[in-house]
Amino acid sequence: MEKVDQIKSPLDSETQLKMTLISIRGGKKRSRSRVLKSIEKKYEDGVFKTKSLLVFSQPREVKGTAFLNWDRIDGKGDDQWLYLPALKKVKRIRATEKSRSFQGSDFSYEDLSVRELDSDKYELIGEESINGIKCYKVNAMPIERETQYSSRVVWVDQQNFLMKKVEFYDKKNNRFKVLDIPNHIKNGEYWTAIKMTMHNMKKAHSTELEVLEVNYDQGLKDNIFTESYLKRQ
Amino acid sequence: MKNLILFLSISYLSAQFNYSGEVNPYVMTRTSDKTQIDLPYRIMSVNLGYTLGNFDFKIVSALEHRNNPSEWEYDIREAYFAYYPDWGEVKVGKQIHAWGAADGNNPTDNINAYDYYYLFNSGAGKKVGSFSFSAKVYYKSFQLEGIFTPKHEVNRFPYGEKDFPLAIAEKPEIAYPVEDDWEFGFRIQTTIGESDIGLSIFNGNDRSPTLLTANVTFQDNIPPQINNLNLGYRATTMLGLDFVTFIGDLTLRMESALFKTKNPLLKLNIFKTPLDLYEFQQEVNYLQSVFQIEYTTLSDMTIVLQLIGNKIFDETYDWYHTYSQELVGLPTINFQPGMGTPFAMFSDQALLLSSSGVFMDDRLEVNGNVMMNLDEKGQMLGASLAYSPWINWKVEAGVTKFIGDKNNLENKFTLMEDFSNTRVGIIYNF
Repeated sequence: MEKVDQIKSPLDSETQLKMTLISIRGGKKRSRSRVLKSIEKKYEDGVFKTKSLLVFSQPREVKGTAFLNWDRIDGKGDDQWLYLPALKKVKRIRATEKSRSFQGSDFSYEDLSVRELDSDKYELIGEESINGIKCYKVNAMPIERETQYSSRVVWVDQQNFLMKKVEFYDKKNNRFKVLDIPNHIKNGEYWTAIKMTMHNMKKAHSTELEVLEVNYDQGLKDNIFTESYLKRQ
Repeated sequence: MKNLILFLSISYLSAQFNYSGEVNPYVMTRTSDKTQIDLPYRIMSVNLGYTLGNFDFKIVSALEHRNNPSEWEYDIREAYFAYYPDWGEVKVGKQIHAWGAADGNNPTDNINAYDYYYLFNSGAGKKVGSFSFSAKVYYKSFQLEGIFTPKHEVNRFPYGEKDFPLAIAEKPEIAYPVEDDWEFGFRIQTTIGESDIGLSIFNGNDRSPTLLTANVTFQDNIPPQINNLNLGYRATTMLGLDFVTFIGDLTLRMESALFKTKNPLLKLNIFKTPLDLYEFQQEVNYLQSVFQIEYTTLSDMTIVLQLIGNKIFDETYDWYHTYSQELVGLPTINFQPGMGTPFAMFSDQALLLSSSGVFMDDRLEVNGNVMMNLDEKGQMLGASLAYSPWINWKVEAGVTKFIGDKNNLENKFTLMEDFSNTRVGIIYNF
């Protein structure tokens, strides 16, 4: 898992994403998509870990709705703001609990954040192939209790040390969610998971997150992560 | 010339044009006799934007339509230039501003006048754009904002609308237009720990007219005969405080505004003034407050509880003869705030509970609200559903019911009872 943690990540990124919510009822599959832009920058100023901005462009009804998040190092919780174009007002909002659903999807905020290497203890429990790629199968047990999961089972590509699949177990040790990450591409020196699907095993529901466009290390300015910029989207 | 071509080429390449809007035809029907409520409404809204580097140009327009008799009116609600330097933002043009921490009812938000046809809309939809110059500076955890408006804008009231129960029969004549049009406001906001606190001041003129003079005949042994009421606008200064903080899973928003208002000194030429003219000098301080508690459930339903208060104090008045300046004993008139949250028109103390949620992967939107008059009897109940069968399309249906006091026909909720309605419409977003 150290090798997974050592995979190089960019200082900043700008990603165009398509998020598709898929429900299956009576054997019939129904889907609804949203398109959003995610802009993120890492900080090494001793105050913030990252600052990020999410801007929705589809469906048209929510076009211009934007979230700003400042992730603090001191663990005092994030600072969050929401801009709703119809109100013409930036609202300070309560930081979302990490266990909550991300925008009504099957991903929680915790699922989308990077987990520190020393937050879990690891055990190699076998080797398996995922889509023809040989993987290590690792059980990750949280050391801290600040997580909604009792454990995660992670399949790691033996060649590039990329996560290909993750199973999430709830506090009662039932399989809760399964994340499939079938395809990665290398953009310059960074790997990008171009498609991820999170299956909720308790509901007949899944969420597909597809990268439409991505740009790394553009030297994004700090004023992007401000209330003023939030209103311009 | 080459430089100009190069500049224009770069400008063209880096510029971004964007648009959005909605088409929303709907029908409102009285619940009492199922007849249609014929008020104008925005059937279509179009937002256009052009971005070039740090500059934006925005136009927000709406097409207003009345179903019966069929009437159409196009309105440019906002049209402004904005410049976004690293330190903040500068805007000039016809704009709608938004101040305050609470949702929907903001006593500190007085830069723009209100459009009473859209009183029950949320956000910018119920305001009238005004020409203004504004600048906002972001410095560390501080935000400083200044707004200057050179022209006095008044509320848009549904005059003579038989379908709006609180409508005034006809547009009153304004005898004394505002002499000093200039209005300005300043606001400073800072973050302390996990809380935001804002202080604001606004100096301007009322958005609703009030009585300034009257022609009165005095005769022995009979009460004074008021022949004519002459209207104008009071000068008002607002001092505001707004606050946002978080306690556990709750978000608390508080907003309070102290209004100091008085009738302007009319510089009347006494030689041209009728002898029966009496001036009404009224000075009132009043306080409007909103206290809001907000909670989001695990299923992402938002529940908002608001306590709205309006309290008049320090009310003084005098009637005096314009010509002789002699004080006379005429009665006062009921004070009506000419600035502040429009909901103060309904009640001096009200409790508002609203909830909203989105289900079925964004297909179903559910809203509900209750407004209770705490002063006297009166309730407003509302519920709406919007279903989206296809992306960017919605079918909406809603019901609003006013319950007044049968023993009090002057009660605003009693007057609004006949406005209880159902609403059915379609929304297409583009």
